[in-house]
Amino acid sequence: MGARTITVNVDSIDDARAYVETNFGPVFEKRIKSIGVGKRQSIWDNSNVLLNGTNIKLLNRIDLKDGDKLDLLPRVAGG
Amino acid sequence: MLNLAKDQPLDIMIRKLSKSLVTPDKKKMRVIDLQSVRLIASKKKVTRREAETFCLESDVVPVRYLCNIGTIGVEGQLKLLRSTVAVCGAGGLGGTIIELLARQGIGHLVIIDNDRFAENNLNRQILATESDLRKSKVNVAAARVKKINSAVVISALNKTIDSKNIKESIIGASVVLDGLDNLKTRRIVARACDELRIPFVHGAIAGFSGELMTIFPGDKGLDDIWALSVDENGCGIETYTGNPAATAAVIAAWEVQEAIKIVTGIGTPVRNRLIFLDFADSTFDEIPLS
Repeated sequence: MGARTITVNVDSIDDARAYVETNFGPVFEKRIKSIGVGKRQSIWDNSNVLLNGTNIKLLNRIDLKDGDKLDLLPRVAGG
Repeated sequence: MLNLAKDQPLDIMIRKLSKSLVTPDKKKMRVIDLQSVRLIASKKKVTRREAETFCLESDVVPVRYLCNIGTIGVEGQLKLLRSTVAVCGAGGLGGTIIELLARQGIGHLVIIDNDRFAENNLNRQILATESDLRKSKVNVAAARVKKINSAVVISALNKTIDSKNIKESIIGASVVLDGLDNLKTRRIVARACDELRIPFVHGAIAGFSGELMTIFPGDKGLDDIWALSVDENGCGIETYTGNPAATAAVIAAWEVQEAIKIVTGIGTPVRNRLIFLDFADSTFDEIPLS
């Protein structure tokens, strides 16, 4: 995606998502299209998003603080 | 001509058939070749696995395992030979896993898969050949293992894994390895492993990417990463990328390393962290699971 680790200032998880989609969505989209996928795809929705090692879907409330680490892991399930 | 009467004590027979060898690092070792192991099994009416076990217990190394000993020792090889390892899936990941475990000298392999080889498996599934298309994967796997290492006992289970049958299939295994291609079945196996207190080595691939982690009972696991609801299957980007050969081979090989570490007690398994490999960008990431 052109960047492995970046530091950003965001106030909320929605801001984080917007940042990722804006800055890395087009690169992801291009990659996906290059392998023949026509349908629009979201980088966020195709990733397991972990906040400090826990999937954000498991968190009831997300309050971001300084130093939090967000990992976007492409969902891989093949064998 | 050696006197090998069948009533001869086993240790004497092993001693007579084995040879002394000096390793490159000047260690003396006694070794026994494949033909002699077969002869012992035949004369003593024991399985080849038992014959190899007797040899190792007598500090005589079957030549086929000679190149393992410097890494895992005779004791480690014995542990492998006495162990049962279950492999769920005999496709891209599972095929390579099975091949490597057989060569390494796992004593009992449980192989579970309900599928048959199809033409689109040929790109990556090491057990798939043109002449084996439409044949049962577990039967082909069993035949391959027998060709590689006739000491390995094989339980080939041609069945669809579900929550009702998984425990009876993997019970008694020292470790269960993930050769599956969907998250739904992985979660069934992972849950059963947790309940049976068996470590589960997870691996998955998509395109140039692969991930791996070892889940011991009580550890963080797949649900912590994927956070799916009960009914969700959880497809990944392999839907777009497909699965090339080398990605499967790398992750499968690493899964085997995990199994060897668990069985022998040597080294440190990948626990409570996820390894993520991206071969396109040549990156390796380790994500601690909190």
